[in-house]
Amino acid sequence: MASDTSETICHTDSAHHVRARIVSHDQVAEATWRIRIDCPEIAAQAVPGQFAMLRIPDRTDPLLARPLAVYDTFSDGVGIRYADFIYLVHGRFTTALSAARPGDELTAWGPLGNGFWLPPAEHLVLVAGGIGQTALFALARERLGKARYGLPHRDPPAARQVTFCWGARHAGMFADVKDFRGAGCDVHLATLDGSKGTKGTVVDLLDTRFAGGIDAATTRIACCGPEPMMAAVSRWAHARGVPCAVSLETPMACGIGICFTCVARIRDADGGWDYRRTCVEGPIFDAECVEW
Amino acid sequence: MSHPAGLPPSPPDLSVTLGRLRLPNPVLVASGTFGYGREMAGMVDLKRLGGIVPKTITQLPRKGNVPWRTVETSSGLLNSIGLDNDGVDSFLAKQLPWLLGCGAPVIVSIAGATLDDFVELARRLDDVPGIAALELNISCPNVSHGVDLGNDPGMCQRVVAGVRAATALPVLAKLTPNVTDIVAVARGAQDGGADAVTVINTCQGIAVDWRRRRPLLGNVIGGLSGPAIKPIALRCVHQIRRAVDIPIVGVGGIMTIDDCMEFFVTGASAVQIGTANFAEPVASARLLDELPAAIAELGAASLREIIGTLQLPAALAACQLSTASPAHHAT
Repeated sequence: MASDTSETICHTDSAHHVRARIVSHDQVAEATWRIRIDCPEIAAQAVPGQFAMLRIPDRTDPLLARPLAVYDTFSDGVGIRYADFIYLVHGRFTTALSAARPGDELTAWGPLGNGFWLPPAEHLVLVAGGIGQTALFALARERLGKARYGLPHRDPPAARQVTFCWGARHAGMFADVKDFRGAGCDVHLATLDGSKGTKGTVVDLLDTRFAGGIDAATTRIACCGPEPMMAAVSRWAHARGVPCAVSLETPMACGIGICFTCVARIRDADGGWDYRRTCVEGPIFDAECVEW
Repeated sequence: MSHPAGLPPSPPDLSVTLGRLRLPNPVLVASGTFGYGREMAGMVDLKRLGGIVPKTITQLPRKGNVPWRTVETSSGLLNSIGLDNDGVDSFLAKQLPWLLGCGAPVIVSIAGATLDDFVELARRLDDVPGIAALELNISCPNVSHGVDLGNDPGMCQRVVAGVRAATALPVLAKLTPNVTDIVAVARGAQDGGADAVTVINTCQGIAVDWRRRRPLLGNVIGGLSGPAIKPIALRCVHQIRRAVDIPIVGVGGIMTIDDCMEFFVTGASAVQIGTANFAEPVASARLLDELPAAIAELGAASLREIIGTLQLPAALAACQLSTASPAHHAT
């Protein structure tokens, strides 16, 4: 069922639809690319956890845009102007996008979605699976006081410590881990094949990292990755009483609430659930509200 | 060009008459591709639009279908949303008041499983001030029964006639292409008293992940939209135009101004922009910007002058009037 649009914050009210020049476009890991586009309207407004829709213009195949988390934003010395996105090549759009070159133009609309707004936490634990780190990096920088986001800048409570736990299939899939280290995160990696870090899943990594316990009163978790991974992290957090926010990665066709593609089962106050559009009501949800 | 030399051309008359419904221009947005309008207020100056058809409503709330609900295919989008909506009460309380204030004509899309459902909804909406017209979604391929009413010319006629008796609002019947003879169904709509027909809803299809041996849509079968179906939509407009007198609202794969003009020349009095809203949220406004120049290119002073002006080869013109199936003709 649809949500009350009238009561939903309409993120499209402040979103911009622009032609954006590709500034740089580089492969940063196996099947993983980092693209920087010139889009001051979007970049200046974006806050951690928000996304933009990117499309290859003037062609019908691929037809639609794709939602990509805003990884970080950059200034041209005058003001915030550029937005970076990191994506995994795994379908018709991302395959086509990976062939685009600096100087080419994309269409983009955003920033979209609710973004992270976590209550104060002394210790923020970021948990990523696969390409899920892209939704978490700006949050790490913001909470560690390394960057400010939004227009006007928002001023969230700082974290004393940010731990970043990232699980991937194998060592070749980690892209720009140095960014997280550079921001001051305590970085821990896991791979399914043991080629880097802990051998196992990111939940195995959490078990190892927090073998001595976790202080539920001062810790919060923010998580992004494949749905089964987020479900597992949510269960892990729930069992320890640690608040957990998840960034859902449901497929989207429009990103602005008009197509009703991206629904997820979100719990109602009465104990039932309803399909909610992750693009306009999310993508960030309290993990306790998600019917996995 | 009809304007005197040396003077700037006056903008063409874009107004549209669809039976009892008058619209300021022919660029509408299609049901299910524009939310409830509110979501698009930041992207499009809504009051410029010829009309907004918000997402289809039903009597009772519907959760909609299991994800995945859409899959992109070659130049197309396969969807099976399943008429996810909060029901008519919620629509009237929470969506319609804002929508009626946006400045564009609002054509409310309704669906039901039975004739009585349609009649009841029409009666409910009849005394709501501000609604411009109703569009009967007798063609959604993604809900049980939804496609059945639009499959049968007699049933289509009865639904339209029932709605006509229940409301003074103009009535558009949205037709499915998933039939052997869409012309017969269009005749049913005309005989039932429809002011216009909306042509077409989506074309049924499936998408498959062969490695996992699974369908990609949660509901397995969905409806295809986007540029891939434009030739089918144009064919339907063409056939209906030549057999039925009521106006046609063309919809199916319109992305560019050329697409719009193809529909007008083929016989559509207005167009609905659908999947393009997803791919380019500002598409409807852009097409409105581009429309006057395209009409002027044909030397016309009004949209009306170009509707249905498609020239057919003489040998085929008579033949095509007599049948609904292009398969009967030499290729």
